[in-house]
Amino acid sequence: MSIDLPARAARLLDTHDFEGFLGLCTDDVQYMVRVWSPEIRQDMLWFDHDRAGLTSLFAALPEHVLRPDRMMRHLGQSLIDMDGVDAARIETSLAVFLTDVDGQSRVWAVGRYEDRVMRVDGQWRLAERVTRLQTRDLGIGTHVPI
Amino acid sequence: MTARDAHGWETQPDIASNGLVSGDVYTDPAIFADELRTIFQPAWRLVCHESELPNPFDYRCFDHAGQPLFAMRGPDGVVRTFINACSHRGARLLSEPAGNARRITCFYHHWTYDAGGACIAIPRGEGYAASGLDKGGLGLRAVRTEIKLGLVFITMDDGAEPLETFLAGALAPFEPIMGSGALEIFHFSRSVLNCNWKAWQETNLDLYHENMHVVLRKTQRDAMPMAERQIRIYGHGHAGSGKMVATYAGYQGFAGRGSDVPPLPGTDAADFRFSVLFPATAVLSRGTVMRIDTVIPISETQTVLEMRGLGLKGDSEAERRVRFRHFNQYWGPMGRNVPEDMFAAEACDTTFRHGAARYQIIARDEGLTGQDDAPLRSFYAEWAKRTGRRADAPNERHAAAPNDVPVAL
Repeated sequence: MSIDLPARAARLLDTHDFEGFLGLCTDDVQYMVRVWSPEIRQDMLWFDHDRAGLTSLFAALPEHVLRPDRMMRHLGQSLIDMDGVDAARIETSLAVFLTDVDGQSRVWAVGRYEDRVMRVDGQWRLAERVTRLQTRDLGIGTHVPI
Repeated sequence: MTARDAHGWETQPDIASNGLVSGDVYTDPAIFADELRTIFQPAWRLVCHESELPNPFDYRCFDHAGQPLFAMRGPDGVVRTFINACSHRGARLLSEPAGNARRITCFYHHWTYDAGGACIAIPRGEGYAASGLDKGGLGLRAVRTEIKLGLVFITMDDGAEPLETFLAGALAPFEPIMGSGALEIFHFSRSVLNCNWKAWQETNLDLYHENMHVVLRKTQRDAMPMAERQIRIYGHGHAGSGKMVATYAGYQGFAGRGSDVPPLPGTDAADFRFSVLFPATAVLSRGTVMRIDTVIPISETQTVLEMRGLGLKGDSEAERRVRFRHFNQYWGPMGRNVPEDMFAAEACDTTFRHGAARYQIIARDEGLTGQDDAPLRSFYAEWAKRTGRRADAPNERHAAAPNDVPVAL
């Protein structure tokens, strides 16, 4: 069984094809970025949006001051646990590279995607994503979901 | 109107000297070394919120002016701070950022300290008999610690003025919000920024850069015009505001913000306010959440920014999730506002570092309303007083003793 949704979603986010990305999501998608803080010994939410929230964020991005470098999400082999025929949980390790305007690249963040996917009308769709970041220092941060 | 030639570019603009900041203050290693000694060693610095130390023997480690320290709540409930170094060979005692330890035992040779900093055990102590060593005189170096509104401050200067005097009333706007002890921490992030430490405080002290942020233009500019905002100058380099007003319906997706969780005590969903404490602390509230910044200088061109988020104790899980969302709408590493401020701070530093820019202009005078540069002038007046240097010409020392320099706004 192979579900390539994490790789397709990564490519769409990398290229800022947000409409295409939303096309991979269910109507009730939830997208979260969670980070464990050893400093305050708590699990934190750094990003938490449903479909309406993602849609409004993506619509607003052209008006924001965005970091000029580009992200490339490099994914490891996905581990897929089927939940029946039309649902699955997928865990995928993640490294995000940043390439600056001069063409220099560096690793910026590492973590793991914990995705819940569903088959809708024969197509796999993202129903929930929790990006669990190990990296806690994101430098100047980002508006775009990791 | 014409562009300037090389000489013109290097020449100090012909405006009042307190309206200029030389680029050297961001880039000169000698000035940075002076700042550590004259500003960061003696000044009070925020290190954590007391909710980070809820139980006896809880500790938090941090660095200050290049030195490792830790704060710990004792069994008597008192928060104390110590240099995080063993009296024996100087090894760092506590390595985790936070934890709980009834005894602090050095991993290296097992010298042990209690929560009051006393050395209580030295293995094979009898071996030191001939040397006259007495563990009673070998406690940890205690660092002065005081708490205001739940904020834990330290100073390395045993002779420093009391915290209350240092604050000069700058936290008064937050008394109703934080005074009841109803808040607790829920967010902590740490970012290394490629800029001088002052560049971050400048973003906090400059209200009118909100035009850079679409999220602020759409939620604040019309809700309370700049001319109606009142800036407060407290002395000691601190500045801030009282209550200001935001409306959230203007930014898509923010409508309803504040109707979904209780506001913080003494405030309402539309309320926002800030206080910036010299040198390196900022306190901001926005109806349902608070943000606390601590700026930690690493070098003249690198800075750590610690950002904390505070919400209400006793939130349900659903309420806390909403409070996270409110915090992240503006702040944190994935907010709509903070990454843009970070970008701006680094963008300025890039030009000063290589001499492309020579001066910052902080000369706007608008009667202490929202577009006045008085908070920046106040900050640099205190900077000048402490370093003994002029911000516009930092390599020309004051003729007067540093403390005699008037705080001119």
